[in-house]
Amino acid sequence: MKILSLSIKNFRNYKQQKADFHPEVNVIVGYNAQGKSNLLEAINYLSFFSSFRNARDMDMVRWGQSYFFIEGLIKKTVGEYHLSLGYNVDNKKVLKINGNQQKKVSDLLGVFNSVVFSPEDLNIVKTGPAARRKYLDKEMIQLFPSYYYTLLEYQKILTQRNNLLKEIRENKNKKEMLEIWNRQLINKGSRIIKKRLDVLQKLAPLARLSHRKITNGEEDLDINYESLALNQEKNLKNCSLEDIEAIFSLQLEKHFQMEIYRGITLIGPHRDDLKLAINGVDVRKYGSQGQQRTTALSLKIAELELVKSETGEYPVLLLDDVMSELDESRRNHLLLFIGNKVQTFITTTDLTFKQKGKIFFISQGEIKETESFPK
Amino acid sequence: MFNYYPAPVARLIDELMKLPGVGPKSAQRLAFHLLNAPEKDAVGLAQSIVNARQKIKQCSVCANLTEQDPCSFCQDITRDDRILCIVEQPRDVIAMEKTREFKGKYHVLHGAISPIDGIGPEQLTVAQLLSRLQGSRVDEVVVATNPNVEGEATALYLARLLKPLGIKVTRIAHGLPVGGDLEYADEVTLAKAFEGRKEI
Repeated sequence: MKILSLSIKNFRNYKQQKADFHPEVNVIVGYNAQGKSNLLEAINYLSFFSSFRNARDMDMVRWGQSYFFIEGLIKKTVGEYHLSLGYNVDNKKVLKINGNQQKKVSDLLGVFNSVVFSPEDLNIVKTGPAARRKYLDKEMIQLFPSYYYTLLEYQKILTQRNNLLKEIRENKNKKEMLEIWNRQLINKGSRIIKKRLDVLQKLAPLARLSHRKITNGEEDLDINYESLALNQEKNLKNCSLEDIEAIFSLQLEKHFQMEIYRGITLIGPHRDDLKLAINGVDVRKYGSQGQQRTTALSLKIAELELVKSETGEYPVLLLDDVMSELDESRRNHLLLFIGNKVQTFITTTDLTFKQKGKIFFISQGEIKETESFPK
Repeated sequence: MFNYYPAPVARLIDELMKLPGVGPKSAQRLAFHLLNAPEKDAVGLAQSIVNARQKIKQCSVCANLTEQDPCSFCQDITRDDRILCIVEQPRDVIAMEKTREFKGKYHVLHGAISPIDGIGPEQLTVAQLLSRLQGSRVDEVVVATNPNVEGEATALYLARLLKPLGIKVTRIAHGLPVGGDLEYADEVTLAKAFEGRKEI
Protein backbone atom coordinates (compact mmCIF):
# COMPACT_ATOMS: atom_id res chain seq x y z
CA MET A 1 0.00 0.00 0.00
CA LYS A 2 1.33 3.44 -0.91
CA ILE A 3 0.21 7.00 -0.62
CA LEU A 4 1.13 8.66 -3.91
CA SER A 5 0.18 12.23 -3.12
CA LEU A 6 -1.28 14.36 -0.38
CA SER A 7 -3.09 17.71 -0.41
CA ILE A 8 -3.69 19.55 2.81
CA LYS A 9 -5.44 22.79 3.59
CA ASN A 10 -5.59 24.65 6.90
CA PHE A 11 -4.20 21.66 8.71
CA ARG A 12 -2.01 22.56 11.71
CA ASN A 13 0.55 25.07 10.40
CA TYR A 14 -0.08 24.25 6.72
CA LYS A 15 -2.04 26.77 4.70
CA GLN A 16 -2.29 24.86 1.47
CA GLN A 17 0.25 22.32 0.29
CA LYS A 18 0.50 19.41 -2.08
CA ALA A 19 3.22 16.77 -2.29
CA ASP A 20 3.90 13.83 -4.59
CA PHE A 21 5.60 11.06 -2.68
CA HIS A 22 8.20 8.47 -3.60
CA PRO A 23 6.83 4.91 -3.53
CA GLU A 24 9.62 3.75 -1.23
CA VAL A 25 11.36 6.20 1.08
CA ASN A 26 10.42 9.79 1.82
CA VAL A 27 12.69 11.68 4.16
CA ILE A 28 11.05 14.72 5.74
CA VAL A 29 13.77 17.05 6.91
CA GLY A 30 13.62 20.43 8.57
CA TYR A 31 14.44 22.40 11.68
CA ASN A 32 12.32 22.11 14.82
CA ALA A 33 8.72 23.34 14.86
CA GLN A 34 8.38 23.62 11.09
CA GLY A 35 5.65 20.99 10.61
CA LYS A 36 7.43 17.67 10.01
CA SER A 37 5.32 15.66 12.44
CA ASN A 38 2.20 17.52 11.31
CA LEU A 39 2.72 16.05 7.87
CA LEU A 40 2.86 12.52 9.29
CA GLU A 41 -0.19 13.33 11.39
CA ALA A 42 -2.11 14.31 8.24
CA ILE A 43 -1.13 11.07 6.49
CA ASN A 44 -2.07 8.97 9.54
CA TYR A 45 -5.35 10.88 9.83
CA LEU A 46 -6.48 9.22 6.61
CA SER A 47 -6.16 5.86 8.37
CA PHE A 48 -7.86 6.56 11.69
CA PHE A 49 -9.63 9.91 11.24
CA SER A 50 -8.20 10.96 14.54
CA SER A 51 -4.79 12.27 15.59
CA PHE A 52 -2.07 9.86 16.66
CA ARG A 53 -0.92 12.59 19.04
CA ASN A 54 -4.34 12.55 20.72
CA ALA A 55 -5.11 16.09 19.60
CA ARG A 56 -8.74 17.13 19.26
CA ASP A 57 -9.95 17.77 15.72
CA MET A 58 -10.68 21.41 16.44
CA ASP A 59 -7.11 21.91 17.65
CA MET A 60 -5.73 20.76 14.32
CA VAL A 61 -7.45 23.51 12.39
CA ARG A 62 -4.98 26.20 11.35
CA TRP A 63 -5.03 29.21 13.63
CA GLY A 64 -7.83 31.62 12.70
CA GLN A 65 -9.50 29.20 10.26
CA SER A 66 -12.72 27.22 10.68
CA TYR A 67 -11.98 24.03 8.74
CA PHE A 68 -9.29 21.72 7.48
CA PHE A 69 -9.11 19.42 4.52
CA ILE A 70 -6.91 16.41 3.77
CA GLU A 71 -6.89 14.45 0.55
CA GLY A 72 -4.70 11.52 -0.35
CA LEU A 73 -4.27 9.34 -3.39
CA ILE A 74 -3.85 5.78 -2.19
CA LYS A 75 -2.50 3.00 -4.35
CA LYS A 76 -3.27 -0.58 -3.45
CA THR A 77 -2.72 -3.70 -5.49
CA VAL A 78 -6.41 -3.70 -6.35
CA GLY A 79 -6.58 -0.11 -7.50
CA GLU A 80 -6.30 3.56 -6.63
CA TYR A 81 -8.44 5.43 -4.15
CA HIS A 82 -9.00 9.12 -3.57
CA LEU A 83 -9.58 9.49 0.13
CA SER A 84 -10.66 12.89 1.35
CA LEU A 85 -11.72 14.37 4.60
CA GLY A 86 -13.10 17.77 5.43
CA TYR A 87 -13.56 18.89 9.01
CA ASN A 88 -15.54 21.98 9.84
CA VAL A 89 -15.59 23.37 13.36
CA ASP A 90 -19.39 23.80 13.21
CA ASN A 91 -20.29 20.62 11.40
CA LYS A 92 -19.00 17.15 11.52
CA LYS A 93 -16.50 15.43 9.29
CA VAL A 94 -17.23 14.87 5.63
CA LEU A 95 -15.56 11.68 4.45
CA LYS A 96 -15.30 10.79 0.80
CA ILE A 97 -13.84 7.92 -1.13
CA ASN A 98 -13.46 8.50 -4.88
CA GLY A 99 -15.85 11.43 -4.50
CA ASN A 100 -18.60 9.36 -2.84
CA GLN A 101 -19.56 10.56 0.58
CA GLN A 102 -19.46 7.98 3.36
CA LYS A 103 -21.61 8.23 6.44
CA LYS A 104 -19.46 6.61 9.05
CA VAL A 105 -15.81 6.59 9.97
CA SER A 106 -15.98 2.81 10.14
CA ASP A 107 -16.78 2.70 6.41
CA LEU A 108 -13.33 4.10 5.72
CA LEU A 109 -11.28 2.46 8.44
CA GLY A 110 -9.02 -0.07 6.81
CA VAL A 111 -9.04 1.51 3.34
CA PHE A 112 -5.65 3.07 4.00
CA ASN A 113 -3.45 1.42 6.60
CA SER A 114 -0.58 3.31 8.15
CA VAL A 115 1.49 2.64 11.23
CA VAL A 116 3.21 5.33 13.27
CA PHE A 117 6.45 4.67 15.07
CA SER A 118 7.36 7.46 17.43
CA PRO A 119 9.70 7.83 20.42
CA GLU A 120 6.74 7.15 22.75
CA ASP A 121 6.39 3.73 21.13
CA LEU A 122 9.89 2.92 22.32
CA ASN A 123 8.57 3.28 25.86
CA ILE A 124 5.63 0.96 25.33
CA VAL A 125 7.46 -1.84 27.14
CA LYS A 126 8.34 0.01 30.32
CA THR A 127 5.30 2.27 30.78
CA GLY A 128 1.92 1.20 32.11
CA PRO A 129 -0.50 -1.38 30.71
CA ALA A 130 -2.59 1.31 29.01
CA ALA A 131 0.10 1.87 26.35
CA ARG A 132 0.28 -1.82 25.58
CA ARG A 133 -3.50 -2.14 25.34
CA LYS A 134 -3.55 0.86 23.04
CA TYR A 135 -0.89 -0.73 20.84
CA LEU A 136 -3.00 -3.84 20.42
CA ASP A 137 -6.32 -2.02 20.02
CA LYS A 138 -5.03 0.46 17.48
CA GLU A 139 -3.70 -2.36 15.36
CA MET A 140 -6.96 -4.29 15.59
CA ILE A 141 -9.18 -1.31 14.77
CA GLN A 142 -7.48 -1.03 11.39
CA LEU A 143 -7.89 -4.70 10.64
CA PHE A 144 -11.32 -5.34 12.08
CA PRO A 145 -13.66 -2.34 11.90
CA SER A 146 -16.33 -4.09 13.98
CA TYR A 147 -13.81 -4.30 16.83
CA TYR A 148 -13.88 -0.51 16.96
CA TYR A 149 -17.62 -0.58 17.61
CA THR A 150 -17.32 -3.25 20.25
CA LEU A 151 -14.71 -1.10 22.01
CA LEU A 152 -16.93 2.00 21.82
CA GLU A 153 -19.92 0.10 23.18
CA TYR A 154 -17.83 -1.45 25.92
CA GLN A 155 -16.60 2.01 26.90
CA LYS A 156 -20.18 3.26 27.15
CA ILE A 157 -21.23 0.31 29.29
CA LEU A 158 -18.19 0.87 31.48
CA THR A 159 -19.00 4.55 32.04
CA GLN A 160 -22.59 3.72 32.97
CA ARG A 161 -21.58 0.85 35.22
CA ASN A 162 -18.90 2.87 37.03
CA ASN A 163 -21.42 5.61 37.65
CA LEU A 164 -23.84 3.08 39.06
CA LEU A 165 -21.15 1.56 41.31
CA LYS A 166 -20.47 4.98 42.81
CA GLU A 167 -24.18 5.53 43.36
CA ILE A 168 -24.50 2.16 45.06
CA ARG A 169 -21.54 3.04 47.29
CA GLU A 170 -23.31 6.23 48.31
CA ASN A 171 -26.58 4.31 48.83
CA LYS A 172 -28.24 6.26 46.05
CA ASN A 173 -29.01 3.16 44.04
CA LYS A 174 -29.75 -0.52 44.51
CA LYS A 175 -27.25 -3.36 44.12
CA GLU A 176 -29.74 -5.26 41.97
CA MET A 177 -29.40 -2.66 39.24
CA LEU A 178 -25.86 -3.82 38.60
CA GLU A 179 -27.04 -7.01 36.98
CA ILE A 180 -28.52 -5.35 33.90
CA TRP A 181 -25.13 -3.80 33.14
CA ASN A 182 -23.14 -6.92 34.01
CA ARG A 183 -24.71 -8.91 31.22
CA GLN A 184 -23.72 -6.36 28.61
CA LEU A 185 -20.28 -5.88 30.16
CA ILE A 186 -19.61 -9.62 30.01
CA ASN A 187 -20.98 -9.93 26.51
CA LYS A 188 -18.93 -7.11 24.95
CA GLY A 189 -15.92 -7.56 27.22
CA SER A 190 -15.60 -11.24 26.38
CA ARG A 191 -15.73 -10.49 22.67
CA ILE A 192 -12.90 -7.99 23.08
CA ILE A 193 -10.80 -10.46 25.05
CA LYS A 194 -11.47 -13.27 22.59
CA LYS A 195 -10.53 -11.10 19.62
CA ARG A 196 -7.37 -9.91 21.35
CA LEU A 197 -6.37 -13.50 22.12
CA ASP A 198 -6.93 -14.47 18.50
CA VAL A 199 -4.84 -11.58 17.20
CA LEU A 200 -2.10 -12.18 19.73
CA GLN A 201 -1.81 -15.75 18.58
CA LYS A 202 -0.76 -14.42 15.19
CA LEU A 203 1.20 -11.43 16.45
CA ALA A 204 3.34 -13.23 19.03
CA PRO A 205 5.24 -15.51 16.61
CA LEU A 206 5.87 -12.58 14.26
CA ALA A 207 7.34 -10.51 17.09
CA ARG A 208 9.37 -13.48 18.28
CA LEU A 209 10.84 -14.00 14.83
CA SER A 210 11.75 -10.35 14.44
CA HIS A 211 13.28 -10.29 17.91
CA ARG A 212 15.46 -13.30 17.16
CA LYS A 213 16.72 -11.60 14.02
CA ILE A 214 17.64 -8.37 15.77
CA THR A 215 19.41 -10.18 18.61
CA ASN A 216 21.09 -12.75 16.34
CA GLY A 217 19.09 -15.56 17.89
CA GLU A 218 20.16 -14.80 21.44
CA GLU A 219 16.84 -13.71 22.83
CA ASP A 220 13.44 -15.38 22.77
CA LEU A 221 10.51 -13.03 23.14
CA ASP A 222 7.25 -14.36 24.58
CA ILE A 223 4.04 -12.37 24.51
CA ASN A 224 1.10 -13.45 26.61
CA TYR A 225 -2.24 -11.93 27.41
CA GLU A 226 -2.69 -11.06 31.07
CA SER A 227 -6.34 -10.84 31.96
CA LEU A 228 -7.88 -10.08 35.33
CA ALA A 229 -11.19 -11.39 34.08
CA LEU A 230 -9.55 -14.71 33.26
CA ASN A 231 -7.34 -14.77 36.33
CA GLN A 232 -7.15 -18.48 37.00
CA GLU A 233 -7.30 -19.66 33.45
CA LYS A 234 -3.90 -20.87 32.29
CA ASN A 235 -4.83 -22.26 28.93
CA LEU A 236 -6.12 -19.09 27.31
CA LYS A 237 -5.47 -20.14 23.74
CA ASN A 238 -8.15 -22.82 23.75
CA CYS A 239 -10.79 -20.66 25.43
CA SER A 240 -14.02 -20.33 23.52
CA LEU A 241 -16.16 -17.21 23.76
CA GLU A 242 -18.54 -19.10 26.06
CA ASP A 243 -15.65 -20.11 28.34
CA ILE A 244 -14.49 -16.51 28.60
CA GLU A 245 -18.02 -15.31 29.38
CA ALA A 246 -18.36 -17.90 32.13
CA ILE A 247 -15.04 -17.06 33.79
CA PHE A 248 -15.60 -13.33 33.39
CA SER A 249 -18.96 -13.69 35.09
CA LEU A 250 -17.47 -15.66 38.00
CA GLN A 251 -14.72 -13.09 38.49
CA LEU A 252 -17.26 -10.25 38.52
CA GLU A 253 -19.19 -12.03 41.27
CA LYS A 254 -16.00 -12.50 43.26
CA HIS A 255 -15.07 -8.82 43.05
CA PHE A 256 -18.58 -7.55 43.69
CA GLN A 257 -17.90 -6.08 47.16
CA MET A 258 -14.55 -4.65 46.14
CA GLU A 259 -16.03 -2.95 43.09
CA ILE A 260 -18.67 -1.22 45.16
CA TYR A 261 -16.05 -0.19 47.71
CA ARG A 262 -13.79 1.24 45.02
CA GLY A 263 -16.62 2.57 42.84
CA ILE A 264 -15.07 1.32 39.61
CA THR A 265 -15.20 -1.76 37.41
CA LEU A 266 -12.16 -3.82 38.33
CA ILE A 267 -12.58 -6.72 35.93
CA GLY A 268 -12.52 -6.62 32.15
CA PRO A 269 -10.43 -5.97 29.05
CA HIS A 270 -9.91 -2.34 30.12
CA ARG A 271 -7.64 -3.63 32.91
CA ASP A 272 -5.75 -6.25 30.93
CA ASP A 273 -2.13 -6.21 29.83
CA LEU A 274 0.42 -7.86 27.58
CA LYS A 275 3.07 -9.84 29.37
CA LEU A 276 6.39 -9.50 27.59
CA ALA A 277 9.20 -11.86 28.56
CA ILE A 278 12.70 -12.34 27.19
CA ASN A 279 14.15 -15.79 27.84
CA GLY A 280 11.50 -16.20 30.50
CA VAL A 281 12.25 -12.94 32.34
CA ASP A 282 9.62 -10.19 32.50
CA VAL A 283 11.13 -7.49 30.31
CA ARG A 284 8.62 -4.87 31.51
CA LYS A 285 10.17 -4.92 34.97
CA TYR A 286 13.61 -6.44 34.63
CA GLY A 287 14.63 -5.77 31.03
CA SER A 288 17.53 -3.47 30.27
CA GLN A 289 16.85 -0.24 28.40
CA GLY A 290 18.28 -1.89 25.27
CA GLN A 291 16.12 -4.99 25.62
CA GLN A 292 13.04 -2.86 26.10
CA ARG A 293 13.79 -0.90 22.94
CA THR A 294 14.46 -4.03 20.92
CA THR A 295 11.18 -5.47 22.17
CA ALA A 296 9.36 -2.29 21.15
CA LEU A 297 10.95 -2.49 17.71
CA SER A 298 9.99 -6.15 17.39
CA LEU A 299 6.39 -5.34 18.33
CA LYS A 300 6.29 -2.63 15.66
CA ILE A 301 7.70 -4.88 12.97
CA ALA A 302 5.26 -7.60 13.98
CA GLU A 303 2.47 -5.06 13.61
CA LEU A 304 3.52 -4.36 10.02
CA GLU A 305 3.80 -8.06 9.26
CA LEU A 306 0.37 -8.73 10.73
CA VAL A 307 -1.26 -6.07 8.56
CA LYS A 308 0.52 -7.64 5.60
CA SER A 309 -0.72 -11.13 6.46
CA GLU A 310 -4.29 -9.96 7.06
CA THR A 311 -4.69 -7.57 4.13
CA GLY A 312 -2.06 -8.81 1.71
CA GLU A 313 -0.23 -5.47 1.75
CA TYR A 314 2.23 -3.74 4.01
CA PRO A 315 0.89 -0.56 5.60
CA VAL A 316 2.66 2.75 5.14
CA LEU A 317 5.22 3.26 7.90
CA LEU A 318 5.57 6.67 9.51
CA LEU A 319 8.74 7.08 11.53
CA ASP A 320 8.32 10.17 13.66
CA ASP A 321 11.74 11.24 14.95
CA VAL A 322 12.51 7.68 15.82
CA MET A 323 15.78 7.27 13.93
CA SER A 324 17.70 9.50 16.29
CA GLU A 325 16.45 7.39 19.20
CA LEU A 326 17.69 4.08 17.85
CA ASP A 327 21.33 2.97 17.94
CA GLU A 328 23.06 2.09 14.71
CA SER A 329 22.50 -1.66 14.75
CA ARG A 330 18.78 -1.35 15.46
CA ARG A 331 18.48 1.42 12.90
CA ASN A 332 20.14 -0.77 10.32
CA HIS A 333 17.90 -3.64 11.18
CA LEU A 334 14.84 -1.48 10.74
CA LEU A 335 16.07 -0.11 7.40
CA LEU A 336 16.90 -3.63 6.28
CA PHE A 337 13.37 -4.74 7.14
CA ILE A 338 11.81 -1.79 5.32
CA GLY A 339 13.96 -2.55 2.25
CA ASN A 340 11.90 -1.60 -0.75
CA LYS A 341 8.70 -3.32 0.35
CA VAL A 342 7.28 -0.79 2.83
CA GLN A 343 6.64 2.81 1.83
CA THR A 344 8.23 4.80 4.62
CA PHE A 345 8.18 8.39 5.80
CA ILE A 346 11.04 9.44 8.04
CA THR A 347 11.15 12.75 9.85
CA THR A 348 14.54 13.93 10.98
CA THR A 349 16.46 17.09 11.73
CA ASP A 350 19.64 15.82 10.10
CA LEU A 351 20.46 13.65 7.12
CA THR A 352 23.02 11.35 8.74
CA PHE A 353 21.79 8.17 7.08
CA LYS A 354 21.84 7.67 3.35
CA GLN A 355 18.64 6.60 1.68
CA LYS A 356 17.31 6.46 -1.80
CA GLY A 357 13.94 8.05 -2.46
CA LYS A 358 12.79 11.62 -2.11
CA ILE A 359 13.79 14.28 0.37
CA PHE A 360 11.30 16.93 1.40
CA PHE A 361 12.42 20.08 3.15
CA ILE A 362 9.84 21.57 5.48
CA SER A 363 10.07 25.19 6.41
CA GLN A 364 7.28 27.12 8.14
CA GLY A 365 4.51 25.02 6.72
CA GLU A 366 5.91 24.78 3.20
CA ILE A 367 6.88 21.49 1.60
CA LYS A 368 9.71 21.56 -0.93
CA GLU A 369 11.30 18.65 -2.67
CA THR A 370 15.05 18.88 -2.42
CA GLU A 371 18.28 17.00 -3.12
CA SER A 372 19.96 17.62 0.19
CA PHE A 373 19.44 19.56 3.40
CA PRO A 374 19.45 23.22 2.30
CA LYS A 375 21.69 25.42 4.41
CA MET B 1 -22.30 37.71 21.69
CA PHE B 2 -25.96 38.81 21.70
CA ASN B 3 -25.08 42.35 22.61
CA TYR B 4 -25.55 43.16 18.94
CA TYR B 5 -29.29 42.50 19.16
CA PRO B 6 -32.09 44.42 20.84
CA ALA B 7 -33.03 42.64 24.07
CA PRO B 8 -36.28 40.98 22.78
CA VAL B 9 -34.42 39.54 19.77
CA ALA B 10 -31.61 38.27 21.96
CA ARG B 11 -34.15 36.59 24.20
CA LEU B 12 -35.85 34.95 21.20
CA ILE B 13 -32.53 33.63 19.90
CA ASP B 14 -31.70 32.33 23.36
CA GLU B 15 -34.98 30.45 23.55
CA LEU B 16 -34.67 29.02 20.06
CA MET B 17 -31.19 27.74 20.87
CA LYS B 18 -32.68 25.54 23.58
CA LEU B 19 -34.37 23.47 20.85
CA PRO B 20 -32.66 20.25 19.78
CA GLY B 21 -30.42 20.59 16.74
CA VAL B 22 -30.50 24.38 16.78
CA GLY B 23 -27.19 26.20 17.21
CA PRO B 24 -26.46 29.93 17.36
CA LYS B 25 -26.50 30.40 13.57
CA SER B 26 -29.76 28.53 12.97
CA ALA B 27 -31.34 30.29 15.94
CA GLN B 28 -30.41 33.66 14.49
CA ARG B 29 -31.80 32.70 11.10
CA LEU B 30 -35.07 31.45 12.59
CA ALA B 31 -35.43 34.55 14.75
CA PHE B 32 -35.02 36.92 11.82
CA HIS B 33 -37.34 34.82 9.73
CA LEU B 34 -40.02 35.13 12.40
CA LEU B 35 -39.47 38.88 12.68
CA ASN B 36 -39.77 39.37 8.93
CA ALA B 37 -42.79 37.08 8.51
CA PRO B 38 -46.35 38.51 8.59
CA GLU B 39 -47.36 39.12 12.17
CA LYS B 40 -50.19 36.61 12.06
CA ASP B 41 -47.76 33.81 11.15
CA ALA B 42 -45.51 34.55 14.10
CA VAL B 43 -48.42 34.95 16.50
CA GLY B 44 -50.00 31.80 15.06
CA LEU B 45 -46.83 29.86 15.83
CA ALA B 46 -46.66 31.23 19.36
CA GLN B 47 -50.30 30.40 19.98
CA SER B 48 -50.03 26.90 18.59
CA ILE B 49 -47.09 26.23 20.90
CA VAL B 50 -49.04 27.46 23.91
CA ASN B 51 -52.15 25.59 22.78
CA ALA B 52 -50.34 22.27 22.24
CA ARG B 53 -48.48 22.67 25.48
CA GLN B 54 -51.64 23.28 27.51
CA LYS B 55 -53.85 20.66 25.92
CA ILE B 56 -51.39 17.78 25.61
CA LYS B 57 -50.70 15.71 28.67
CA GLN B 58 -49.46 12.24 29.54
CA CYS B 59 -52.02 9.46 29.36
CA SER B 60 -52.61 8.15 32.87
CA VAL B 61 -52.50 4.57 31.58
CA CYS B 62 -49.76 4.31 28.97
CA ALA B 63 -47.95 7.65 29.48
CA ASN B 64 -48.19 8.49 25.78
CA LEU B 65 -48.86 12.12 24.93
CA THR B 66 -52.54 12.75 24.41
CA GLU B 67 -55.28 15.35 24.37
CA GLN B 68 -57.89 13.22 26.12
CA ASP B 69 -57.18 10.92 29.02
CA PRO B 70 -57.04 7.95 28.64
CA CYS B 71 -55.57 8.24 25.16
CA SER B 72 -57.16 6.89 21.99
CA PHE B 73 -54.95 3.78 22.02
CA CYS B 74 -55.95 2.89 25.55
CA GLN B 75 -59.65 3.50 24.83
CA ASP B 76 -59.66 1.53 21.59
CA ILE B 77 -61.48 -1.72 22.40
CA THR B 78 -60.54 -3.28 19.06
CA ARG B 79 -56.88 -3.40 20.14
CA ASP B 80 -55.59 -6.56 21.78
CA ASP B 81 -55.09 -5.87 25.47
CA ARG B 82 -53.11 -9.07 26.04
CA ILE B 83 -49.99 -7.78 24.37
CA LEU B 84 -48.13 -4.66 25.37
CA CYS B 85 -45.34 -2.90 23.48
CA ILE B 86 -42.91 -0.86 25.56
CA VAL B 87 -41.11 2.02 23.84
CA GLU B 88 -38.81 4.82 24.99
CA GLN B 89 -40.50 7.84 23.39
CA PRO B 90 -43.91 8.90 22.09
CA ARG B 91 -42.38 9.18 18.62
CA ASP B 92 -41.58 5.46 18.78
CA VAL B 93 -45.31 4.76 19.14
CA ILE B 94 -45.86 6.59 15.88
CA ALA B 95 -43.09 4.61 14.21
CA MET B 96 -44.65 1.35 15.38
CA GLU B 97 -48.13 2.47 14.30
CA LYS B 98 -46.92 3.19 10.78
CA THR B 99 -46.11 -0.49 10.38
CA ARG B 100 -49.81 -1.29 10.96
CA GLU B 101 -48.56 -4.67 12.20
CA PHE B 102 -48.96 -4.20 15.90
CA LYS B 103 -52.51 -4.30 17.21
CA GLY B 104 -51.81 -4.42 20.93
CA LYS B 105 -51.40 -1.60 23.42
CA TYR B 106 -48.45 0.62 24.24
CA HIS B 107 -46.48 1.86 27.16
CA VAL B 108 -44.14 4.85 26.88
CA LEU B 109 -41.17 4.96 29.28
CA HIS B 110 -40.05 8.51 28.42
CA GLY B 111 -36.38 7.56 28.37
CA ALA B 112 -34.02 4.71 29.12
CA ILE B 113 -31.99 3.75 32.17
CA SER B 114 -28.76 5.74 32.16
CA PRO B 115 -26.81 6.20 35.41
CA ILE B 116 -24.59 8.94 33.93
CA ASP B 117 -27.68 11.02 33.25
CA GLY B 118 -29.15 10.15 36.63
CA ILE B 119 -31.99 8.22 35.01
CA GLY B 120 -33.14 5.09 36.81
CA PRO B 121 -36.46 3.22 36.84
CA GLU B 122 -37.87 5.89 39.21
CA GLN B 123 -37.43 8.57 36.55
CA LEU B 124 -39.23 6.42 33.97
CA THR B 125 -42.88 5.36 33.98
CA VAL B 126 -42.05 1.93 35.38
CA ALA B 127 -44.23 2.27 38.51
CA GLN B 128 -47.15 3.21 36.26
CA LEU B 129 -46.39 0.14 34.13
CA LEU B 130 -46.44 -2.17 37.14
CA SER B 131 -49.72 -0.81 38.45
CA ARG B 132 -51.44 -1.15 35.07
CA LEU B 133 -50.18 -4.72 34.73
CA GLN B 134 -51.70 -5.69 38.06
CA GLY B 135 -54.94 -7.53 37.39
CA SER B 136 -54.66 -6.91 33.65
CA ARG B 137 -54.99 -9.50 30.89
CA VAL B 138 -51.50 -8.80 29.51
CA ASP B 139 -49.59 -12.03 28.92
CA GLU B 140 -46.81 -10.76 26.66
CA VAL B 141 -44.69 -7.64 26.86
CA VAL B 142 -42.63 -6.70 23.80
CA VAL B 143 -39.67 -4.51 24.74
CA ALA B 144 -38.98 -2.18 21.82
CA THR B 145 -36.37 0.10 23.39
CA ASN B 146 -33.52 1.29 21.17
CA PRO B 147 -30.76 -1.20 20.31
CA ASN B 148 -28.05 0.77 22.14
CA VAL B 149 -26.33 0.29 25.49
CA GLU B 150 -29.01 2.12 27.50
CA GLY B 151 -31.94 0.61 25.65
CA GLU B 152 -30.50 -2.85 26.14
CA ALA B 153 -29.99 -2.26 29.87
CA THR B 154 -33.58 -1.06 30.16
CA ALA B 155 -34.82 -4.15 28.34
CA LEU B 156 -32.87 -6.42 30.70
CA TYR B 157 -34.23 -4.53 33.69
CA LEU B 158 -37.82 -4.92 32.50
CA ALA B 159 -37.31 -8.60 31.78
CA ARG B 160 -36.06 -9.18 35.32
CA LEU B 161 -38.91 -7.17 36.74
CA LEU B 162 -41.78 -8.67 34.75
CA LYS B 163 -40.85 -12.33 34.34
CA PRO B 164 -41.59 -13.18 38.00
CA LEU B 165 -45.11 -11.86 37.40
CA GLY B 166 -45.66 -14.70 34.95
CA ILE B 167 -45.58 -12.41 31.91
CA LYS B 168 -43.73 -13.44 28.78
CA VAL B 169 -41.14 -10.79 27.96
CA THR B 170 -39.85 -10.56 24.39
CA ARG B 171 -37.35 -8.26 22.71
CA ILE B 172 -37.71 -7.01 19.15
CA ALA B 173 -35.04 -8.41 16.83
CA HIS B 174 -32.30 -6.27 15.39
CA GLY B 175 -30.29 -6.87 12.30
CA LEU B 176 -30.51 -6.35 8.59
CA PRO B 177 -32.83 -3.79 7.06
CA VAL B 178 -35.44 -5.41 4.82
CA GLY B 179 -34.91 -4.96 1.10
CA GLY B 180 -31.28 -4.08 1.66
CA ASP B 181 -28.26 -5.84 0.28
CA LEU B 182 -26.13 -7.97 2.51
CA GLU B 183 -22.94 -6.46 1.14
CA TYR B 184 -23.95 -2.94 2.16
CA ALA B 185 -24.66 -3.82 5.79
CA ASP B 186 -22.00 -2.72 8.25
CA GLU B 187 -20.14 -5.41 10.18
CA VAL B 188 -21.80 -4.71 13.52
CA THR B 189 -25.32 -4.99 12.17
CA LEU B 190 -24.38 -8.08 10.21
CA ALA B 191 -22.84 -9.68 13.29
CA LYS B 192 -26.02 -8.89 15.26
CA ALA B 193 -28.17 -10.37 12.53
CA PHE B 194 -25.98 -13.46 12.55
CA GLU B 195 -26.39 -13.82 16.30
CA GLY B 196 -30.17 -13.67 16.00
CA ARG B 197 -30.38 -16.22 13.18
CA LYS B 198 -33.40 -18.52 13.07
CA GLU B 199 -34.06 -21.99 11.85
CA ILE B 200 -36.24 -22.06 8.74
